[in-house]
Amino acid sequence: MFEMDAMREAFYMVFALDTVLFIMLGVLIGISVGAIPGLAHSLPIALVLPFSFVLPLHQTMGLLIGTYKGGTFGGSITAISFGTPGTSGAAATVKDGHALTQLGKGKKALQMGLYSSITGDVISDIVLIFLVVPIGAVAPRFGPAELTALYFVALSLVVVFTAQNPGKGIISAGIGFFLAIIGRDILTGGIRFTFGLRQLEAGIELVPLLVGFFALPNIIKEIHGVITKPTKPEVSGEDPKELMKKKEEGLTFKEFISSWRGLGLGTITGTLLGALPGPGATLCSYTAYSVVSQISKDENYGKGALEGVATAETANNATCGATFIPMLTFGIPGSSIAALLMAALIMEGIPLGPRTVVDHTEAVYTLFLLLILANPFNLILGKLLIPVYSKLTRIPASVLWPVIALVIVIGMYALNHRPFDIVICLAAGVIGYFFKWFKLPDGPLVLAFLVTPLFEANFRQAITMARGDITFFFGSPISQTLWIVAIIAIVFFVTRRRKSGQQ
Amino acid sequence: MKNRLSSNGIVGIILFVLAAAGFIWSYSMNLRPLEVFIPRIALGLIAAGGILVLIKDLLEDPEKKDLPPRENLLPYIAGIVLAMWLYGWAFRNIGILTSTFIFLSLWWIWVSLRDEKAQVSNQPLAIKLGKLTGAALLITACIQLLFIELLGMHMPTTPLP
Repeated sequence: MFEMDAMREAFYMVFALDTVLFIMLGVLIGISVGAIPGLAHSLPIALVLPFSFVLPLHQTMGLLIGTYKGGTFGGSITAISFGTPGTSGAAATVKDGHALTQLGKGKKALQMGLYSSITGDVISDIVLIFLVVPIGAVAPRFGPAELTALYFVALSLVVVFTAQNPGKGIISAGIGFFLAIIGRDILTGGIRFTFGLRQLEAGIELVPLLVGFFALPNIIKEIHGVITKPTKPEVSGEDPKELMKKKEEGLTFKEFISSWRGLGLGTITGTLLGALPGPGATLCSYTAYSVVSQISKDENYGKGALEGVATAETANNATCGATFIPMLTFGIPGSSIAALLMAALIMEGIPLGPRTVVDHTEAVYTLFLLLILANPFNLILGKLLIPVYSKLTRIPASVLWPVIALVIVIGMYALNHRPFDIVICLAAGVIGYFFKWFKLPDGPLVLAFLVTPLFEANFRQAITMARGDITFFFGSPISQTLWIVAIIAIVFFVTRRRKSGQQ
Repeated sequence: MKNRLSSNGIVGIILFVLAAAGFIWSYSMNLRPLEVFIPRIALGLIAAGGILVLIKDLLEDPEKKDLPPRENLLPYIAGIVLAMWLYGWAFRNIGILTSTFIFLSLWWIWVSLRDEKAQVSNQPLAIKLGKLTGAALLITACIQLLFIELLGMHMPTTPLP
């Protein structure tokens, strides 16, 4: 039930100069740090977390929410500009975003990234406010059987990527599955395929894998170009000084609106999947990206389409508001970032669980208003930083790429202070280069790598609960619906691909 | 000769052999069937994919074959990967300031000298080197500020990863 007095109190707290400054600071930290590969925004959030001991709720949460939202968008900046995802959630943006930069449309891509991020964010926040109770009520009905079916639906999307070239798609998915299972078994602790390397027992971390996989092939390509083709800047057509001054064409309203499929489906996917514990921003953006690839009318989708950027970024950011749904209704953190935000709320004296909305209405309204207020600041600061980043892409390759390479190495170490993460990143880079050379699609690998641990954990939990009875997986209406959706999706995507192949 | 094997088909065979070997090896592992269930699916998929690529390669018209470029990039890949790993080792053992400055300035000095030799730059070498050394110092300072002063990154001396 809506409480006017609590809303009034929350309004006065949030729309005060101190709160606004904390949000701005948070957004600035988030965008700047999110744009550095390896420094996922969970790191700055963890760093500012101790402030919750000394600052009041509205200031702490303003700072944290600003960092979260800024960081989620910030990851796309380097993904678009340098083909290096700043955060794992921005990995799906690399393909179209970086291709657009190479076509000289970097500014357009960055603006599309920003506007679609804000769109996803705003809609997801509104959904959170109005549907926090109904969506929160459905989430705990997802037991191991339902989650197995849900992750099977996600895995069925691998078919979308593989249908065009089944052989290479299957290889890519197989490598993704294999990389995901390296390390200790999640249930029994048995060591699988570590090849005697103690460091691999902890498994392969997502961020070093994705950063290496996407960034290193670009670094190799650019540095190889610098070594083998030393050209006069004048020969390449433009003077570097003039090139830096040159103004790029920005995104038009028509271009933004024409990506409505991506914006719509990205928001829906990000909000719905983001409300469930487990999937995270990376899986949401890849899921939306693969679904839109089937319905997009843009022939350049996957090769440099604004709609691709819009889809991935809307889905990525739509998880921001949705993450709060299981947190505020059942005290379940949906991701590592949600766990940090939850810790801050607990330190502020807000216990999270089914009674949070009733017992701490004012605090909940404060969170809603902070989430909404962070969006205009994300937009303003993002707009201010876009020209800076789009100019960075015009720095000569011999100067820019060695710096990116070094920052990646330090970023990978800073992630967990584990030197072996650097080795994982470099090995992933070699795999990434092999993928480029052999023309293997990257989508199946990423999807399989993300979904496999979730699928395996729930599948084995369910099979243990059911004592081997397979019918357990089809027992509830939710799981039945999800299995039907998976079958329909596979049949639909395969027949669609075949038809387009015949044409 | 019609339908000859291209690089695609050869890589398909290699992947098939590796995955099949892994699949067979999984039976000699001291693991429960459920623990190797997903790994076997993964290896089976790679093997099946390898066969599909090989079949497609054999059936395809040799003139239309989509061959990957034959440019020998292996030395560059190895060199770049080694340099990045070496930097990771260096910043933990000789400090982030020293290692970053050395790596950046050495690279830029080499590029500048090579450009000078090939006479592809209009700028005098001394000015160019001065500018790049300044840039190396600035970037080193920024990295030190961000990772050490602000984030307080802990860096123990570890000879090997």
